Amino acid sequence: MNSSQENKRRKKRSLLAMMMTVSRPYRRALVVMIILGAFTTVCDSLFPLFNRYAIDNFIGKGTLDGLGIFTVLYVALLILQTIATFISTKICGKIEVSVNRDLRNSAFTHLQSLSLSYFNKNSIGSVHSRVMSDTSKIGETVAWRLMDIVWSTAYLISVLVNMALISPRLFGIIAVMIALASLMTFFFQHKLIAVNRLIRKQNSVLTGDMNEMITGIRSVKSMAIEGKAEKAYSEDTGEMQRLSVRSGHISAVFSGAISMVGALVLSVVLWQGGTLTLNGAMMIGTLSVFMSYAVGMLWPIQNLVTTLTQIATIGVNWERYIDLMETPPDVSDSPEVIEKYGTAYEPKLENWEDMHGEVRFDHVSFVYPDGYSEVLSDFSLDVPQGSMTAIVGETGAGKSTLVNLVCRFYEPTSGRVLIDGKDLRERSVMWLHSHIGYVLQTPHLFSGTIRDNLRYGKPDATDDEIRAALAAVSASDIVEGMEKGLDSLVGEGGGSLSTGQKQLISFARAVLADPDILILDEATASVDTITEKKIQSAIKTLTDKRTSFVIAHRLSTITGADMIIAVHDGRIVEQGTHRELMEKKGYYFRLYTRQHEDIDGVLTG
Amino acid sequence: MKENTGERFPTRISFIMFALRGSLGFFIVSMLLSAGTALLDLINPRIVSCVVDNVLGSVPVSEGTFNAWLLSLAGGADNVRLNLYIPALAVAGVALFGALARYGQFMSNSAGAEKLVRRVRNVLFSHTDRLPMSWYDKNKTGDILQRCTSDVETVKQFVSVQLTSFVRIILLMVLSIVFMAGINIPLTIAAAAFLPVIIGYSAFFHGKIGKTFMQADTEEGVVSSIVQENLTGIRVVRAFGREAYECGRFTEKNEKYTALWVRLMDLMAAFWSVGDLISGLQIMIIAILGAVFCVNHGLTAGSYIAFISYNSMLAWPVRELGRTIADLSRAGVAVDRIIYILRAEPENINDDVLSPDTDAKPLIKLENVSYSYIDGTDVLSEIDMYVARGEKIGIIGGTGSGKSTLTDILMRTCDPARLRGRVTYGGKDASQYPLADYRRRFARVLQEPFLFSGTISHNIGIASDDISGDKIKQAAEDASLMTAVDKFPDGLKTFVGERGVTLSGGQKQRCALAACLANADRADVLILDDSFSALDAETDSAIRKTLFTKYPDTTMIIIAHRITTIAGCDRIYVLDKGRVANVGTHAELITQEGIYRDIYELQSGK
Repeated sequence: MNSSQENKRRKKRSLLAMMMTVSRPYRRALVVMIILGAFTTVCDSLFPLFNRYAIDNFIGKGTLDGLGIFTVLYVALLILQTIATFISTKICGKIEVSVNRDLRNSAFTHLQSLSLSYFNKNSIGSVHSRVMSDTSKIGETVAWRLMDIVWSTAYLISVLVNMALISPRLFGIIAVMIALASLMTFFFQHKLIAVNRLIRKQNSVLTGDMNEMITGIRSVKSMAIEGKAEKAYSEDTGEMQRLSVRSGHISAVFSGAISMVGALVLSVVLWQGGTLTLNGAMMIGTLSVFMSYAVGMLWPIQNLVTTLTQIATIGVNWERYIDLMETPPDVSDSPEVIEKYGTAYEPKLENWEDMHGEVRFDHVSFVYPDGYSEVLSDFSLDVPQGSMTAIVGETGAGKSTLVNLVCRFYEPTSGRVLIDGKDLRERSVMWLHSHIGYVLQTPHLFSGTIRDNLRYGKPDATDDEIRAALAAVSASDIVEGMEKGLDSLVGEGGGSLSTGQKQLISFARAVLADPDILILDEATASVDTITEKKIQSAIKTLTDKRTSFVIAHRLSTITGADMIIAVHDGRIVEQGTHRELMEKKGYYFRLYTRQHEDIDGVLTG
Repeated sequence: MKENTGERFPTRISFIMFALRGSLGFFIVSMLLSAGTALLDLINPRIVSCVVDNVLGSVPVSEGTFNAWLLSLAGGADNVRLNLYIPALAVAGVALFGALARYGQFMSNSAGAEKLVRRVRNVLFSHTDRLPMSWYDKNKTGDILQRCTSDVETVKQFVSVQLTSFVRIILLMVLSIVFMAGINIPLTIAAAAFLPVIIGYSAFFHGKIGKTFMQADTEEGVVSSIVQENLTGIRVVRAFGREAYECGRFTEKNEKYTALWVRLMDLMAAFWSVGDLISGLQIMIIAILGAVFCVNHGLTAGSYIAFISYNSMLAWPVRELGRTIADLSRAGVAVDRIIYILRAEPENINDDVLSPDTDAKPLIKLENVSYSYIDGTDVLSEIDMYVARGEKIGIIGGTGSGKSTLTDILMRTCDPARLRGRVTYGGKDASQYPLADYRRRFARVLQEPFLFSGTISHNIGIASDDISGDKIKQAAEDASLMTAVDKFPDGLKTFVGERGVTLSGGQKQRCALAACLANADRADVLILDDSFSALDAETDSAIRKTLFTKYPDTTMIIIAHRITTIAGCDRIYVLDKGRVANVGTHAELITQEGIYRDIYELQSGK
């Protein structure tokens, strides 16, 4: 069972499976492309026969009889070939870009369903290249590399058949030479691929160096280490030079050698064919056909072998793509839920209930998919509608876990999370997210205008609503200070704003979405104290009627919470109101007193 | 600030000549060898033609011709007839030389190309990293990166592939036409008449398609950046449940991009097939005309064969030529994009040193300093500030009050054109110091610290030339980094940065702080720009204690949001909207009404 599964898995990853899978929608077009592509190169192999006829019949016999028909046939073949070339390359191009598009679309769509743990494990760069470059290599292979194979194979077969029909003896000699040329190409290609892999790697090192210098330019300048960076870069470019020259050397030897083989074939044909001609066993026209075949075959052989070796390297790209597509989302809606609520793309809004906003953790245990120990064990908590739950603890203590579960970014290992008395799994993720507002610690803005960003959670928001949201979080100044107001561009990743400003904008964005549950994940860490104070009052009004979860690091901001949960080393150590916890004189008490006594402590200590 | 701005690389050619310095010789050798290759390639058809006519056929050899010379070398037509291996060997021999020449041609071309591209890369890197920060504010990362990588690649391709193949094809064309003319002049004229048609067709087409290609490149950039943004903002996408919107946006752009490519592919298909047709027609006409010449004007069969093979040798290169001409414009764009960077005025970074006056009373003095945004409004106005040797100075202020800009002014990483007022360091005007020397007097921890790819110890020791492992460890301990580092299996040898482990915000800050402390004995002034924001109170206080007790004589400028962080400073500057609102010690400031007291009261819960 296991080995057959393994077999199945491997089969799915084979190159043949790749061809079959991605070309499925274009199968008919592919067949047309193959037939017409083969036809074009068969035509190529027929043209020397015209020369042969001209030499043996017009020149040899000294007459131009039949030149009319000769010309008509020649032109007819040329036109047919042109039509076939046009249609087959057009189809080929279309297949390439369509396959690319399909793969990119499905990869992107699939990514939207994957769990956040996937994005924690895989760097943005690597996921990005799966979506963009792996897919385009696959499309290119399925279309053009296949076309190359068709062209070369059809030409070779046709030429070989012609030769065998015309002169079996010469054919035998040439066949040996062809084998030699193929072996040689194969040998050099292998060496080249190995070096080129190193070159690509080195190339990404160079790009990395450059990127690091540019993105880290402030650091470089602050430390005045320009010279050092330049020296390191020059070493890396030196390595690149060495590798590239090595690859150049292999290519140089190869192209010299292959041209040599071509000449050898020609020389053998001249010698053996010449003897045959002298003996009257062959006409000069035939000899000339052989000579042009001898030279003309080298290119398709090279092309065929090179293509085959290149195709072998596409396996890596396909594997990476399949890996991505086969990664199951940790969280997904059951068929029944989809039946009722619809999907992200076709939501059945008419079946979506309103949310009241009462959250309950019911004997929840949880282990992160990439973690080992339980961060929650048998945790139960009732969060009434409209209450504020604060989660406090040190940096990296695992404060986001509860929030991740409420948002269903992850599902509990055992136990249930309920909203309005119903298990989260009985409702769709989209429904849930449409009722939750989440302000992140590291605010992310999309490139575009401030308005676009604010509207992200509520696409139809009016400017008045937008301004009200900005005012609610004391962020009106930011927008007013900008020349174009709401139409100002925020730059890539919100780069033209300071961290504090980005936090405020993303806060306003969540407010605008008017969620039933509001989650603030250290939403104001980079905001100065006075602004934070202003926001605090806004938070109070905002969280007044809403259920809210606040992760905070400055404890003064959460003393009024209905429930405080203190987390230490990934585990919940205390829970209660501020008052209860202070009386308990435990972990929370220590955290709190240290933060507040310190101000005076530094002066004396 | 300095002379010769904008004078560098007035033309594209001047840049190419500059880039070719050191590699030009290789390219010249390569081109000479390619002429040799072309010549040798053209000899074999002549041998074949001679064999066909004078050995296999019965055309008499006329005195003084090339064929007569060839045959006399081989001992006469009769001898060759008996020993047909002689011409075969000759063909192989010529080909051997051809192969050697070809090898040499490729080799020297590749050596030249790599030398050239390395030179351009190095020059660009060392120019770019010396450009002022104000330049970086105006240019996007992705764009600079593209200019320094793929545009360089385009230039390399242009010089090593297009330019050399251009010369090679011209050589091949001229030589073939000479050889063809040696066989039959009217046929040669007929064959050559097609060349401008093919070249023109190809150049026209590629020129036309070039624009669509660039458009496709731009569209690809759009699609690619949607993916990039989606991935970086995936949490936001999820939190707002906007997956369907993102997919819709992506598919739409993807569809647009694909449609462009479909159009390109259609154009390409048309180009190829029509190009094939034109070449095919040319070959056919030569074949037919040749036959007519044979029958009516006594052209020999051997010459016919030789002529046809010369003619078919031309078909591909000629089409390539058209493409090369069209590619010129693309390479031109790449060259322009590189020149754009090289024309920007770099900072003057060298090894010069200027010693400050050791007894200058305040080490740093800012007098009436203002700094403006690009649009002219002030970020900082009329700042007066002094820092004495060994003092710990605190700076506090609201979001956007100009705190980080102040550190840029102190370190001269700002745009001097937008700076007014006077900054002195060690009794001398700050701008008198050689830039690198001046900046090395400071060690700054940035608000958003940057890690270079490498190990943690590499990052800590990055600014120092020779630093012992002990010192690195000590710095890491002082920055309270060891508690985090000890959790990694590889400790200080853990890889970080783009290709390594991702550190949390707090770990990054501590790592940057450690790098700064490792430099503390060399640098005169440490600047900590909101370096504790991601740390919890406990770590904050541990570090603060270490800073104050272990580095009592080090001058420090500490920017913070938390009162606790700076309360122990000798003097605290309170910034508000770009102005100094208050100055004093913690004890003084809390007695005065103002922002500082407000913050204090908020934070201490009083």
